[in-house]
Order: sequence, then C-alpha cells, then structure tokens
Amino acid sequence: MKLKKILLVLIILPLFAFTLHKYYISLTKIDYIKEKETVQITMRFFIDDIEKTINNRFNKSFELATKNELSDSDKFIALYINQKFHLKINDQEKNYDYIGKEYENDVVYFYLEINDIKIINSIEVQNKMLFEEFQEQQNFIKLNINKQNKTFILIKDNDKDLLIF
Amino acid sequence: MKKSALFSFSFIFIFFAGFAQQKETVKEKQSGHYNISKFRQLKEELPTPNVYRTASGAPGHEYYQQQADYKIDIILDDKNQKIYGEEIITYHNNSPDVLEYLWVQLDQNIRAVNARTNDVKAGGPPSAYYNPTKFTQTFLGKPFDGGFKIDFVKNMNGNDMSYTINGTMMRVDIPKLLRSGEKFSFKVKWWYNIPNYTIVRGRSGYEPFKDGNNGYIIAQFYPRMAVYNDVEGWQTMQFLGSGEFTLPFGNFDVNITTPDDHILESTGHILNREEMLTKKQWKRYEKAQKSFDKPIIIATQEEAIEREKKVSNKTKTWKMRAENVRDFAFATSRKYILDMQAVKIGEKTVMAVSLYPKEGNPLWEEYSTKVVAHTLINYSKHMFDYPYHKAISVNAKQQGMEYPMICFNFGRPREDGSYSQRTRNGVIGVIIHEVGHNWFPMIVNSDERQWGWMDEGLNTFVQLLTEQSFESGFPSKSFPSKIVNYMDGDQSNLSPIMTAHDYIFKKQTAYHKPAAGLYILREIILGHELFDKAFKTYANRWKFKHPTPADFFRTMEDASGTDLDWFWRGWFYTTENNDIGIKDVRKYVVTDKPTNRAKKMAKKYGVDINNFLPALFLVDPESDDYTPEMANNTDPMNDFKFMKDYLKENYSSQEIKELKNTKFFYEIVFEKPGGLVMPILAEIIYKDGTKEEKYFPAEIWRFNDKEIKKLFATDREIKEINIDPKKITADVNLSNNSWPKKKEDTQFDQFKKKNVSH
Repeated sequence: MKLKKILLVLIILPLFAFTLHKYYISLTKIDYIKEKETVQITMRFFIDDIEKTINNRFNKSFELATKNELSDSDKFIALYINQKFHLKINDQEKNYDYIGKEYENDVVYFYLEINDIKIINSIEVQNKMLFEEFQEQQNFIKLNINKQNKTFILIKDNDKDLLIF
Repeated sequence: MKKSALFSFSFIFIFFAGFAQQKETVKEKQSGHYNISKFRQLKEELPTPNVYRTASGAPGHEYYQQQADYKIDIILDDKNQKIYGEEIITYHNNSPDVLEYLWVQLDQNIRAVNARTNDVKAGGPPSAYYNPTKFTQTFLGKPFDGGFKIDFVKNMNGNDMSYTINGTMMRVDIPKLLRSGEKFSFKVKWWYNIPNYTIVRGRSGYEPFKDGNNGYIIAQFYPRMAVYNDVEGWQTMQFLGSGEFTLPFGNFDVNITTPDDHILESTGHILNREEMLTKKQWKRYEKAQKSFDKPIIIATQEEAIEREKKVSNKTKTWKMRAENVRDFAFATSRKYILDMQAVKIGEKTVMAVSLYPKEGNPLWEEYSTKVVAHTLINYSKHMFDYPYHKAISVNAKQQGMEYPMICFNFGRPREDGSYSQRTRNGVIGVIIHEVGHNWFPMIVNSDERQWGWMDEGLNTFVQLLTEQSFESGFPSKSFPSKIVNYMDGDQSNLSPIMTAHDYIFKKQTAYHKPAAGLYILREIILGHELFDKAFKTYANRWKFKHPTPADFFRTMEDASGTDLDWFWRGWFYTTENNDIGIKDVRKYVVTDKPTNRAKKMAKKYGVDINNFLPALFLVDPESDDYTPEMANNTDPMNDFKFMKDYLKENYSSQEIKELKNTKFFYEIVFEKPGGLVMPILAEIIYKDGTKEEKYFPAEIWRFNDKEIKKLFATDREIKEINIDPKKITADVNLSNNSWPKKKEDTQFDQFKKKNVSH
C-alpha cells in the first residue's frame, strides 16, 4: 500500500497581483465507493469561466444559470468534458456517465460516474479543462481512493498525474 | 482514629513506593519532552515587549515612526502611454537611530526587462496561451520595456547623489549621517512606459478601449520611501508581485498634467477642481456635497461620449494635496463618468465617489457609490470613523486594488448592458473589499510585504460582516463552512497564515482563513461584545501607526481579557484543521450498591467502604458491577429511601417539587481527530422534542488532545446529539458529528437522488 508518485508536481503557484481578483482554479473530487463499485466524480468550476470557454469553443451563447440558458447546454458541456477530462483506471481508459450539473452562487458542479470498478490499483487523471482559455488555470484533483487522500494540481504543461497503490 | 489513618496512609505510601521502584527496573525508559501542550504560552513565538511595543499590544511610550513628504510633478503622455515625473522627497528621521543611507522602493521595476520576478517563477511556461503581443514580448525579443528609468537623484543644491539600484529597491547614499530628529530632502527625476495591464497583468497601468481611448489607473508611479522601524530596520524584501506594500505616512503635494479633456480623481483634495470642471459640472459637484440620499452625476455619460470622439492636444494640470496618507494614486481618462454622494460619518461629511467608463454602465451608476457609502458607514462602526474626506471606486477591467482614498475595481456588464447576478455580486464584493482596505492597511498601516493576512485577512473579515449587512444572505466567501475544502487540502500545498505573503501557496491562507478564524472568535469563543471591543481597540491603538502580528494578538487578548494563545498558535501558526466527533455515548444506571471502583478507592485510603454509605453510585451497564435489577432504578429521587429521607430532612415539600428530577446519566466520549483545539458546540435533542445547546470551551482538551469524556445528567432522555450543527467551526469531517451516527449522503448521492426523482 505504499504510496508511490510517479510525477512530482513541484510548482510555485503564481499568486495574483490583484487583491480580490478571482483565481482560476477548479476542483475535481474523485471518490471510490468500494461497496458500490463506483467512482463518483464531482467537479467544481466558476460558471463564468466555463461559460466563456464553451461559448468560444462551440461558437454559442449559453448564458449559464440564467433564464436565457440554452436548452442543449448539457449536451455541449458533456461533450467538452469528454474532450478534456480523461481517466485511466488500472491502465485502462474509462468512460464515464455525465449525470448532470448544479449551480450554487458563482460556481457550477458537474457530476460524473463510472460503474463496475471492482478494484483500483492505479489511477491516472488528465484534466485539460479551461487551459485553452485561461493562462493561470489550475485544476485541482482531490482523490479519495482506498482510504487514501491525495491532491494533484494540474496545469497546462503538466496536465495529468498518476497514483499507484 | 486520626493516628491510625495516618499510619495506614504512610504504609500504603511505602508499599506503593517500593512497588514502583521494583517495576522501574523492568520498564522501558521513557524520554521526557519540552512543553508540547497546544495551550502552552505563545511567548516563545512573540518578540519580547519593549519601549516601542508593549506586552499589552499597544504602542510603547517610545514608539516612533518615520515620515516622508513628497512634492511631485507628473506629466501623463497619453499618446505614447508614458509617465514623466520629478519629485522632492523630504525624509524625517524620527527614530532614535542614526541612518547611514536611505532605501527607496522602485516597485515599477517588477516590469523591467531583467526583473527578478521573472526569474523566481518556476514551473514551465508561465502562460497557457499567448496572444500576439504577449508572444512577441515573451519569445521574439521584444519584451515590454517597463520599470523606472531614473534620470537623476540630486541633492537640493542640484548636485548628483550616488545611488545603487537593487531590483525593486534603490539605496540613496546621503552626504552625512542622518541623526535622530533630522530631516533630509532630495530630488529624483524619472520616466517609465505605462504597462497595458490587460496584457502584462499586475497592479495599475492602462486599459485600451475599442474606441481608441485609454483608461489610466496609476499607482506606484513614483519612487517611494521604504519603511524603517523598530522591528525590521529598513524593509528589505523585494517586491515579487504579491506581497504588497507598506510605506511611511506623510503629506503629498502633487501636480498632474493630463490632456485637457480628461476627468481625474486621486488621493487627496483636488485644490483646483472648479477650474478643471465645466460650469455645469461644478454646479452638480456643489449639489452632490449635500445629496445624502442618492449620488449626483457630475460628469455625465453624454459628456463622456462627446469627449471620446476626438483627442485634445491641449493639457491641463490638476493640483492635489493629501495629508497623513501613506501613498498616492490616481485614475484619469477622457472616458470617465463621475458621480458622488454625501455620507454622514460621525460629525463629518464624507463623499462616496465613483469613476467609470460608459462600459461599466448600467451596473456602476446603480451600485458603485451606493456600496461605497454602505462600506464607509459599516466599517466606521466596527473600527473607527473614516478620517479622510472621500472614498473613490474606479471601474477597471480585472483589477481589485486599494490605495488611500481610491481603489480600482473589476466588473462590467455585457455589451448589451445586461449582467448576471454573479457579476453584480462580484462588483459589490470587490468594492466593499477595496474601499474597506482604507482601514487595513492604509490607516492601520501593517506591512503586507511581510504579513499579507494583517490587512487582507482582517479586511476580508470586516468585508464579510459588511456584505451581510448590505444584503442578508449575500454569498460571502469566508464563512467557516466555505473554507473547509481549503483546510482539508493536501498538506504539502498549505502554509500557515504566519508566512510571508510572497511565500504562501494559496490565496485563502491570507484572505479567507484568517477571516473565518476571526468569525469563529467572534461567534463562538469571545462573543460579539468582547470581540468587537477588542477588535476596535486594536484598530484605534494602531490607526496611523505600524502594527505587527504580536500587537494584534496581544491587543485581542488584552482587551477581551481572554487567553487566546492556543487559538493563535493553532489557527495562525499551523496548518492543522478542526475535526471533532462523538465516539461513543453510554447510558449509566444508578444503584446504592458500592461499585468495584468505589471499593478500590476506599481500600486505597484504608477506609471501610461502609463509612461512605449510604451513597449512590453510577454504573456502566457493560461493567462487572451491573446486575439486571439495577435497570429498575429509574428515579433516583424516589427509588431509594435514604435519598427520600435526606430530601425531606433538608427541603420543604414545595422545594422538593421544584428540584430537577434528574434520571438519565450519559457519558459522552468526544474524539478529536483534528489537530486544532476548538470549543465543542453540542446540540442535545431530547425525546420530548426539546433542544439544548451546550458549550464546552477549548480548554476541555488541555489534558487529552485526542479524546475526552463528559458526564451529562438530565431529566429527559436524549434522542440525538449533534456537534456544530450550524457549521461554524470549519469542521472538516461531518461524518462523526452525530450520535446516533447519521449516514449523510455525499453531495454526489444527494444530486443523484434529486436527479433520478424527476
């Protein structure tokens, strides 16, 4: 069970010059529920960041979390996540189901799920979301697997990380 | 009798002593330790009090601070985005020390081609994308040529003085020693290229608009005296980008020459404002001085649109005077709209001012000045009356930065003028925060280069209170429940609050964590009355002075009459988090039969157990003392004759009726997997539906940091116990907070359930 980290994430976070400027950070929680053999993924993003990114990418005007939100926004969000977020469990690329999204103030949560995972010996997470839009974007990944907690900080030039049990 | 007791006691003593000695030879030798209690005094961490700073946290009887006065002439070249400046700095040595040289801050040098700021950045490409300008600047050998270009440093006779530039600082060598009580004046001439801050980022610069005009938000534009004090000597930390500033107080006479179609606002009084405005604008300005209920627009959007259409080649010079400020900043553009409202603060009238381009409307005319006014009133209530005559909020893309009397704030509506609730809340939050900075650190002049939290954390705390008073339910970000994710984060990315500002990993360390900590102090540990008095005392003791962390910690204890060493130690000096839970609850029964424990005790003291009788004993149903018939003893007041007799003997029947009929005895085992010590907030819900809140101060953990037991005796049966039910202690793990254990759905499960149901 000794934790072995292949890639060493050693960075100095560029702190903002602005006193109250928002920070470009997302948080993705990945929890493995062994009894249910599922991996639950909860992503937390700033709404305006996601909105700007998918608007530019798909050339639309989604206006998330407003009355004017386009009815097919979920379709494009799921597509975007699929393009940018990849998981390998035990060396195998895994597909996940997009369960839905939820708004809370200025953040949006995305819920993804993978079923039939009997055991996790290793997990590789790649999260390239928003890197194309924001230079300082950092995607935090919080793993809670096999009773171990681990955080990855993914940035553009280091967009994936691996945890082996 | 007495003698024999004494005899048996000494016998026991001898017996045990002999036994212990024997055992020691077999026992493994344990090593001792220093004081490792989480309640040990903070004295080792804090500097020794002295004549400059007292043990109570107040300025000492020989407290001093330096003064720097400036006469500055500035020319803004709007065509080429350059600033030309010349200044006379008069530096007053109020310290008891002899100074051999002076250190001057050149913060603009962070943008110099060879700036160290770029070299200390590690971690691969700094940007995820490069627009053409940025790509050319970064890779094609055409970097932005920023930084101060010093033309000269001269003495007042016009002779060159020697100076040495060290990154963002400059040492000026003075002709003779500057002794205590003396002052020295010298001249500096300089110019610099104003950065386009929308590309190079950072504080201040200009923003180009689509119509070809620029908005200038100008700060750290002149060489500024560094702070010299009893704690640091000269402040020698380089400016790396995050650790903002501390500067000595002084008086400023500033002339700024701009194109004559500009509208400018700045720190200080604009002495020739009437000349600078049109007659109509001046009339509106005079009207605004008496408008306490709503802002009056002085320079209108229609006028701004007219000015934007052409560029004037003429110039005009704005004349300003500011007294007792630590810095000076200004904003100017031909695009600006200006509005003002009068606000009553104590006996004084303060002007709430907003300056914004039409791109900020309708959001800015609706909210900015209103929020400034609310901030002035609310902050004055919590600290001290706002001492300056105005507070200005300037709309600037991506910015959120404070200077005395003036701040630059982000937030724009969409091009069609609509805006989301998020944008609106962002604007309100940033204006409260930046206007609020007038208290910390503009007036309570702490050193942000050293300790970011002293102004950011304290300010974010008052921001939280002010947001809530502006609009109940405002989505404030520094409630304890909002920092749980941060507190529970990977320890390798966390720094204690007591870390120099440029060396913290995450912004929350200096902003939200200290703010949430103060919220906990106010709501739980001290209560509003003690906290507010202490916080106010700190602000008033140190207004227009330079406090340090120790002065804050000591004042908060001194003025609240509470030892908080353990709180500062845990919350400010470590990265530990709070996790308190209920491990077990045992229900005891009552009996009149002596338990083994009681018998043992009697034996230990050589007393017959019968000497203690009649008495009641509490029995754990899982212990050997328990017998099934004890379950019948459900009413201790009435089940035992000797108890009934005792009550009758000592109390009237009326009094007996009024006694609390305690029947239930619970031993609650609290566990503390978290490294912080924290009070226990327990909500007891009884079977009859009633509720009770119990508070156990943090000191309950003083003898055992992991687990403690507490006996609860009640007249009602307990149904449920919840720890921290309002989620105000930043408890990072709620799964152990309830008895009986609640199976709480994760956020994921909750969402899935909701989703499946419709």
